Parts: sequence; C-alpha cells; structure tokens
Amino acid sequence: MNHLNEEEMILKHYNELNDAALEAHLADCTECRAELQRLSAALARVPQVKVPALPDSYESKVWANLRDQLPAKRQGWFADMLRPQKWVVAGAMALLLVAAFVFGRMSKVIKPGVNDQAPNVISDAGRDHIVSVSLDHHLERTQILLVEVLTAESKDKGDFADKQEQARDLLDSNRLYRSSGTKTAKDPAVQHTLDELERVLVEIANSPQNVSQDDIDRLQRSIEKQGLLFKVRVIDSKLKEQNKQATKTNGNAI
Amino acid sequence: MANSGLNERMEEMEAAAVAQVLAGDRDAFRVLVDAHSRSIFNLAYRMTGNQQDADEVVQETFLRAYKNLDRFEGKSKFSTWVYRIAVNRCLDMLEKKKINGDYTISDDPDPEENTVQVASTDAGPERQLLSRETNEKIATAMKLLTPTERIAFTLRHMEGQSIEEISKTLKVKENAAKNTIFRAVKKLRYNLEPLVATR
Ligand SMILES: [Zn+2]
Repeated sequence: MNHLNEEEMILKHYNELNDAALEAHLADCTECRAELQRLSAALARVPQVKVPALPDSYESKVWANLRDQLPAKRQGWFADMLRPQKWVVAGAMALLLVAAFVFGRMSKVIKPGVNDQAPNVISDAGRDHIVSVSLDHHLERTQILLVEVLTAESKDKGDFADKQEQARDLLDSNRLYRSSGTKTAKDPAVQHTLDELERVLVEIANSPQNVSQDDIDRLQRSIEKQGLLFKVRVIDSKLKEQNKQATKTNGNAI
Repeated sequence: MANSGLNERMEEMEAAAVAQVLAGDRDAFRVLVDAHSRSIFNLAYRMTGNQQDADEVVQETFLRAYKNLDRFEGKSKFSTWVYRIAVNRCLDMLEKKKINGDYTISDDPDPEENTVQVASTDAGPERQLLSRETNEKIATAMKLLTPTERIAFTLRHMEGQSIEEISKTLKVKENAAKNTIFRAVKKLRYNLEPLVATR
C-alpha cells in the first residue's frame, strides 16, 4: 500500500485531505502517522503573530485620515432612486442599533473579526458604551442639520423638504436615546440637551411645506436663542472623551 | 440563534451604509470603517509584520473599497469583499517593498521597528525554551517565502482559511492555491525540521 506523500500530509495537517482511502491508510499505518506528527511538530514551530494592542480611538483615527481623501460620489440614477429614502435608512440603522442593544433583545454578540468565534455577553457598561457611540453619531448628524438650517434661505425650497425629513428621522432616534435609560443617557446635561434638541427638531419637522423666509428666520432664532449648536458640540465632545475612557476599561466587554 | 440574528442585522446595516454612500453620503462610509478597520489591521499586521505597513494597508484598503464601491454587488458580505481587497493590498505591499527581507520575530516588540511579536498564550515550559535564536531561525525561514507564499500560508496557518477560500481571495485556481501552500510549508519545514530533530 502506498504511503501518503508530503503534499497529502500537508492537506491532512490542515484537515483538507478529503480522501477516504488515504484516511483509511493513515489509520492503519504507524509510519505515516509518525511522519504526520513530525510535520505537525515542525509547523507548530511557526508562531502565531501577536498583534499589538490598538488604542480605543483607532477607528476614529482611521476615519479622520481617510475622510478628506474620499472623493465625493457622483450622484447618478442610483442616488435619485434612493434620495427620498436616504435619511429613513440612516434612521433605521440608528434604531436597529439602539433597539438591539439598549433593550437587551440581544444579549450576545459576535465580533466581526475573522477568527473571533467566541460569543461575549454584553455588560451594562458595554451597552452604555454602544449607546454612547451611536449617540455620538446621532449628535454629529444633528449638528450637520442645525448648521444647514442656520444657513438656509427660503429660495432653496426643495432642500428644505429634505431637512424636514432629516429632522423627523432624527426626532425618532432622539426620543429613543433620551429614554434608553443607560448611564450616559441619564446624565442631566445630556437629558437637557436632548430635550431642547427635541423641541427644535419638532419645530423643523413641523414647519410648513412651503417654507417662507419668516419661517426659516424663526427656526434660526430658536436654535440661536438656546445656544443649541454649542451645547450639542460640548456634549458630543464630552461623549467622545468618555467613549475613549470607557473602551479603556470595558473594551473587552463588547 | 441570537448571534446569527445580530449578524444579519449587522449585514443589513452594512448594506444600508453601502447604499447611502452610493447615494452620495460620504459620511455613511464611517459605519464600515468602524466595523472593520480593527480586524483588517490585525490581518495586515500578520501579513506585513509591522505597524506602519499595516496602517498603510488599512488606509489603502478603505480608500480602494470606497472608490470601487459601485462594483460591490452585494453577492458576498461586505466584510468578505473588503477583506479580499485588504489581502491584495498586503500582497502589493510585500511585492513593492520586498519586505520579506526585513521580517524579524522578537520577544521584545517595538512597533517602530520591523519586528513581530510572538504570542505567549501557549507559553508552556517547552515553549519558553523557544529562544531568540530559535525565533531567528523561524524568521529566516519566513524570509524564504515569496509574498504570495507568505500570504497564502498566513491565511491557511494563522487565519484558518480553507484552501478554497484562499483561492477565491487571491483570485487563483484552487490547485494553484494548494501548490502555493505546499511550497510554503516545504520551505518552512526544511528550515525548521532540524529544531524538532534535535529535541
Ligand atoms: Zn503509510
């Protein structure tokens, strides 16, 4: 009977032999089994490479370096087709995230890493961190909207319909974050800002379909009167800082 | 299973993010960067053996993914697609810099230098005998691999990918992927075998 050749041994070592006759031979042949052991011992000498630990801010750093290099996407038919749904999709994502994590419908999560198959339980701290991170994104998007409203003019009527839609979408997530009951969301400053934000978002969402310059002026005044943009920025930068700290102590929990 | 439910959700979110980017929302791309940059860094570090190159691979991978996003047809998961881009960026990087000449393994990692840290998780007494001298022999053996051999071997040996997956990632026939791995293992073995024999 023929012994396994070296290549068949290599396949066997990696569980990719897929050959019943050869497997049967291997079961009977001490010589082949000894040879396989020698191969495995040699390969065991090749160490796993230990990857250095990355800072918690790693993703933000990658994004910061990347963002300005990204050319604007040409908006073709695909964009037109999607345009009305664009913010709905964004809102759906935020809601999915919060619903999945905050209300604990999912108690376990698999990391998206290549070989990470071990499920990890999400701790309260981990859940709070996830909410904080998505709240950070929410506040970033809100800031963009507020700036757009502050610089809007009545002649861009079509654009304003977009902003109203964004406001409606942000309003849903805003309410969800405010009532999520995690540590971060219960912080008085966060609660207060989310409250004020909600009032302004309602105002934007409910402004008349044919928005006049007066309507826009009124919206701009109420944003400015409350110093809302500044408050949102302060909260957002506090959140970013807190998120960094949280991943330092709880990074493994999520 | 709860886990697969969440995975599906993440895939849905990623598909939504892809659609948003294609609709002109550049910032939606951040969702994808947040989800995958860490695991791509890990992969790139295993391939290139140093932090600077791994960082570069991460940046280039996402830049390329963004530019080619309209060619991502959603037939595979975004993670699979972007992972393949990353592997090919690593390959280009290794070819370009012929970095395999600089591959060293050290117990005392310094990210600033081209050193690779050896995992200590399986540090039995026998393992600890794996001295610096032995590490150098392994590093020497790794140097003998061509970039393609090193990538294919890393995917099989360290990332646990099947030969079939590797052939898809490298866009070669399955037999070619098989032969590349055979060559890599034979080269390594030829250099590592004496270590085993002297035990
Ligand atoms: Zn035999």
